Amino acid sequence: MDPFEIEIKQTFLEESQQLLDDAEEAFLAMDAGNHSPEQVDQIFRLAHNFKGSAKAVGFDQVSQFAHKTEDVLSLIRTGQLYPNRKVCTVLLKALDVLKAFIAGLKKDFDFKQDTTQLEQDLMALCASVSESADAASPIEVPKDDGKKQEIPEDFFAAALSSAAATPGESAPVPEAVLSQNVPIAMREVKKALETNSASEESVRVSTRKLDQLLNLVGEMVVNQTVMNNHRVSQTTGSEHAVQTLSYMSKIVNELQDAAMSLRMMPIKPLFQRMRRSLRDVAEAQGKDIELATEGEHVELDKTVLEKITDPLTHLMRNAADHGVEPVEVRLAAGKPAKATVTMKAEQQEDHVLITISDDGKGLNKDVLIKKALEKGLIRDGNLSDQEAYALIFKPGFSTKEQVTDISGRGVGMDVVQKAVDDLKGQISIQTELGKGTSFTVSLPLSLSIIAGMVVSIDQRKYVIPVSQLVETIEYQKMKIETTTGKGRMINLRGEVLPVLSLNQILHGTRLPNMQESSERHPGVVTIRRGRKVSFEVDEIIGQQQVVLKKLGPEMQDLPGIIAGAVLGNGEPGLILNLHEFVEERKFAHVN
Amino acid sequence: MSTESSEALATNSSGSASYLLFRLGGELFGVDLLTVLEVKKIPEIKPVPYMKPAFKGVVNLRGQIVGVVDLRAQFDIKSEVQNLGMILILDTPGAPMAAIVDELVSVEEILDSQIDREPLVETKVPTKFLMGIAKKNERLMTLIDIAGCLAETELRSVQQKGKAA
Repeated sequence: MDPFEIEIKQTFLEESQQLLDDAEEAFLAMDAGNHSPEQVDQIFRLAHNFKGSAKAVGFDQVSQFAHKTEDVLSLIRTGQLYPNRKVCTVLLKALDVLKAFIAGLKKDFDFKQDTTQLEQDLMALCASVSESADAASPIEVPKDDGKKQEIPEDFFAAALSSAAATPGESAPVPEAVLSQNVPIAMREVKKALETNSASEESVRVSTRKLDQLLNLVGEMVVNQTVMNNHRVSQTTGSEHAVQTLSYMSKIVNELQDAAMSLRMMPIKPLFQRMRRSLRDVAEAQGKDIELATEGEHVELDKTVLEKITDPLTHLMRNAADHGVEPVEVRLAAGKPAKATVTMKAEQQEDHVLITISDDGKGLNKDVLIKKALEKGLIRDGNLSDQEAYALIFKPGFSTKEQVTDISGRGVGMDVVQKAVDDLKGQISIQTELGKGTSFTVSLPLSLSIIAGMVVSIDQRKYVIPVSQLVETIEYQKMKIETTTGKGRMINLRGEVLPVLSLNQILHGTRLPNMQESSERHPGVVTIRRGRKVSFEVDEIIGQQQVVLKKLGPEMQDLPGIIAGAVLGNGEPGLILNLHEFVEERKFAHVN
Repeated sequence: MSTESSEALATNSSGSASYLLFRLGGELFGVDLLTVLEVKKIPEIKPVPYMKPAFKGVVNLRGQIVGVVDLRAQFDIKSEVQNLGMILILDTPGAPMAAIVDELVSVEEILDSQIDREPLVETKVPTKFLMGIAKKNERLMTLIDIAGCLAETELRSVQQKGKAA
């Protein structure tokens, strides 16, 4: 295959991703019944051009399948077919097939996808129209309509296909025309779809280059901090130099923001995916559910966004499947038949909060506890509300009696928890019986630089992600008590918190004599699955931005150590995951 | 990086290779120069919990966090030098690692004919990473594939996540 052909094929595949997403949005709008004739026109043109471009670059099977889809759209456009739920379902499924097809072609240009089933479904839709049309009145059959569309059938596409696929066979087409037409055709459709958005020029850059840039900027931020510390400690130095330094540090901060923003992507496509999966669940279960979204312009790091998509989809399906009651139950409870699932994103300082809430039945604490006891997941049913709700994150827990193919496999919520943990995020549950449940996932804006609390333990410095901290405390202001001379605890505003020693956990040091030193130490409090735990440290040094650094293979999987870091003064440090220490209950019992 | 590389070295056209020679206690060692990225004075090392005593901690090598192994402790060699010494930054698979040695001696071109590939001596270096004993300038020196050796040595003192050994 010559390089030119490879290039146009790749361009087609890359651009079609976006087109298919746009088409999905349009189909979903159709499905919700709020589509305008213009939108139908647009989507028709989109399919038409997609078909033409696919053929032009030599993906004949894609083109043929798109053609079948186009036939159905053509009928919708002329008003002969109403896009009811059934029609939309077929169209959405066709879209899934195309997506899978494109994904397959990305890996292998000779990829083949079995499209027979859906082609039949699509043709059945067309046939249903022509039958009813034949029976009703002798108006033109849609097949003619389809043919008419063939006439303007991309004049360049035909030219292209002959030139690109079999060079030399037909009249030569100028190279310049060749290399531009396909992308242009696609871009025009895109433009048509985003009529409102201001056209902003962009450059496609590999994430590797971006990461390199971010890494360098991260270094610069650290060095800037070192320099600032140095400046403070020095009394000499000209005023001019001091001024320049302070100006420099302002620029460095802005540069950091700008560099970090390069990896940021709007959350909107994720919302769209949610709309789709919610629709599928609702349809499969005969529920009527509406998705309300808020904050679709909030941005997240590309990697965070990619890694959180599946967990959020799971939460969403869960809300629709387990949260929302069947229609009869809703009506009996005096609720509207149509349920609402809300997905909201908002940015708070260096965090993004994503909330998925439903107006369903809410979590029943007693049922959860009963279930967990039955399954042997807990031995004692005496749990606080938050602890009981957190049970759903335990592996092997699923409250639904029957296993459904939607979300009841008993795997899932624990996987959600793990994904959120991996991203150094937090997940919390608010629920009210009969009113609904809401899951809030809090995620860091970036994975490369985090806000860290630097603490000192036995003269070694460690970093605790600020996202894990609830508060810092002074043990001297409260009394550390023991039970059976072992497990130490405190009473923090009415809550009993275990007191764990990080020195003991990390360095295996024996606990200091309680009366002498430990009560003077400060501590940090973290919350995990509804339980607060406090950790004793020697000193809290302060909060600073730290650049995350990967540790070598020889240091992988150390308990509670997630990454390395370069501290403000250039010293290497380690970033701790307190949650892991909470999980390892054994630490709470060793003395 | 392991036996393949030593074989590759043995069969290279000139029949020789450059080695960086260093001292651990009273013994001479050599490492393939191509696996050494950098040599420097020991920077400030920060200890890492849950690692074996031979693993001294991490250093900040221009923004990269690199683990440091004390070869004297690793091979159980008594050394009079306590805190001084140099580190070699080695090109280990995955991420670079640093090795502490007592003293750098020189870089020597060693002919393949000067190396005994299958010496019948006892050594603490696993056979797989022992490239041979070289005879040069009236001295015997142990040639090791340190990078390969460090990459495959278990340096953690915990067996698995959360389980203290």
